[in-house]
Amino acid sequence: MTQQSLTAGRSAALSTRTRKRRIQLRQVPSYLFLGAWSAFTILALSWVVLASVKTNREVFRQPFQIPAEPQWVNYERVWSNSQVGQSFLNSLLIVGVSVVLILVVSAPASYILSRARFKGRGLLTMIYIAGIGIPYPLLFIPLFALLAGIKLINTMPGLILIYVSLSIPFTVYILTGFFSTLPQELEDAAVIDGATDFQVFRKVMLPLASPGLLTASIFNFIGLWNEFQLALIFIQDPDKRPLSLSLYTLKNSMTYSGDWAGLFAGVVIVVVPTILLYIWLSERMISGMTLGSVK
Amino acid sequence: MKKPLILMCVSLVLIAALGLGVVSAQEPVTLVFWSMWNETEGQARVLQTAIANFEAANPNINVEAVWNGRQNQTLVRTALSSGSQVIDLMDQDADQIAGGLMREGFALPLNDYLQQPAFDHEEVLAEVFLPSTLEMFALEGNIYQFPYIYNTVQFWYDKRIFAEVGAAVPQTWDDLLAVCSTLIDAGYAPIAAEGNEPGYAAFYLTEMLARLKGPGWLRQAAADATGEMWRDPAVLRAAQMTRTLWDNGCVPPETIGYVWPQGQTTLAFGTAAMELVGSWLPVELQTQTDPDFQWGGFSFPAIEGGVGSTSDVYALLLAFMINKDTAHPDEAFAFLRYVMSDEIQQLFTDESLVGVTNKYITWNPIIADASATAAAATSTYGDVDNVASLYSEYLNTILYPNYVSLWQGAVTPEAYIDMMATQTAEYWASHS
Repeated sequence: MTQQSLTAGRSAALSTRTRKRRIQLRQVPSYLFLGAWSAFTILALSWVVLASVKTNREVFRQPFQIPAEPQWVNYERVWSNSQVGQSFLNSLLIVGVSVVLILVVSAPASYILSRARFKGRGLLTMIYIAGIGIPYPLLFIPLFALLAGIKLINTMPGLILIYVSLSIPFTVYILTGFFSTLPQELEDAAVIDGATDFQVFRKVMLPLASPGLLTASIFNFIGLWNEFQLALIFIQDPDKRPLSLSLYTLKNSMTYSGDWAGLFAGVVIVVVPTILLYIWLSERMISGMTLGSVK
Repeated sequence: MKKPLILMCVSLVLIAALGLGVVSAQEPVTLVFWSMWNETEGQARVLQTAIANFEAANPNINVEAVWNGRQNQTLVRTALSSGSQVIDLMDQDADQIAGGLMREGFALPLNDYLQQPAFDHEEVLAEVFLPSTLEMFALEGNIYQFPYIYNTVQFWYDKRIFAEVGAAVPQTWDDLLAVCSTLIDAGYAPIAAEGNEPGYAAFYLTEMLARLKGPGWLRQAAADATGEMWRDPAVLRAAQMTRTLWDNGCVPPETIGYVWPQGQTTLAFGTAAMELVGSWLPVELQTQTDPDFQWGGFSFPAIEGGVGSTSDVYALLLAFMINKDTAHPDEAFAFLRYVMSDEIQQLFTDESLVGVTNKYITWNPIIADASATAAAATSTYGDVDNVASLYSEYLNTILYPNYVSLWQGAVTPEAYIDMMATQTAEYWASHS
């Protein structure tokens, strides 16, 4: 190796290092921002946990101090007065079943709308997607009448039915995008190998669209887990309330009676399982969403 | 000889039956009641007791309660509009019912029912109610609401602080300002308030105009399509009085940053001496105040030159409404009649620390002064002088935001008058 090439190599390495350092320097504000955000979130959550074991007087008088004597009775009171445990299970059931049904209905529909060639396909796709633009409050009265007609008012199956129906437009919108990007040759090859139309869909195209299915599931899961409006209208029985509704009820009864410590205890009971669930699923959720964004 | 005896026996049986709230119908009846309470709240527990007792006395009647919480009226409206859900009776803030379901024609007139004998008194039921409660939201002579809980808006104060500084309960606006000075000199914040809670701030505007121009004037000003009523000198005076509270330090300057419930906690902790708010305040603060905290209440003071009186009461009632399409109006009213009994009304005030509408009931000592105010009322007006029930959109888009601007000192009293006059005219021009 000549002296010249050595010098060139060194200067190249130097410029790469400089560039890396510049990039690192440029990332400092982002890290600072994210660090501050994380610190704020952790601080806020810690404050809520701390407030949940104080007396109401301590919550306001000594907002940042450790309580003189932890008031575990706040948790006892909330647990016995509200049904947050039951509501958590209800939410898991309602949202879990809804997400599965949404995919069962939307995946074949999206496959046909994106791959099949037939008259009116574009119009049909537009009709599906137009559903995204309908505001929920406009549907309250007709949906109430429909559900009452089939005796599903104030039932979890009724709420699931509504969730599935109203989530289909958005899911079809996402999945048609995924299905339309899959290569035609794979379908042709499967047909040549003797696969039926359903087998082509089930054995070839559906596995290829799994990143899209994961993305759609995650978006629907998060959306339905936090959904409040429809649950408020269609569920009245305390035993059938999902978590969002239960938290609202808790907030109302605690604030009107001035039981702020009890409210914070309720928030902790509701939030902790949700955070644990998120930690468990976070990698899959993030990878699913990233895949979705690329597609 | 036998006939009068039989008649007497029949009469006695009938009287006894009425006394126990027993309804004559024997076929099974289910009353569907949608409630504004959450099932764990104190008021809901009292209603649960009332339901259990009523069902025990009337084995053929089952009261099916649905505890919807404060969104109750919205849910009832959706359900009734769908035409597929049976709801026999519901409860909510009387102002909200008046501006909502009642105005939309869902309510059953109760005039005839109210002529029934009271549950446990000799007079007719209508006579058992505290003055000016039943008639408050009557429409063309018809009474559609059955009020059962009574909140008064008045100054709530810490009696120990008043005693310590030697302050008497203010009777006039000037007295109030003098008490403020005394409290400031003694190192107290005179008035606790919230910085940006429009409903709480507007208590002042409502009370000032009720004292200056009399109850009902504010609602006329709100409905004045020209907006010119807002240029009345009384409004300017009320606006100036609002700013005086801040400029004199009656309302401490740091209040501007308070978010509910921050302001009211200053009263609970003995930093501030009084607050203009509803009679629910002692309940909200009961776990924050000292055990020996002594609550007192007094009406918004009279204003020199004003036509209103301190016996005009700002009353926020909670009421039942029976659905006009119910298949069981007699049974639904029988339940309400029982809710109005001394036993259940006393339970409300004892267990939930709220005021009630039965005139024979002694309110919980913590709100004794509200009881005196309610009993002495010569007239009552609802939220924001009934603007909340009649013109809720106007209230939320014009009246509240502009008064909060004045409250926080963002506009001068003169600018506030201009804004109200102009925007009221514009509002009604676009809503004609």
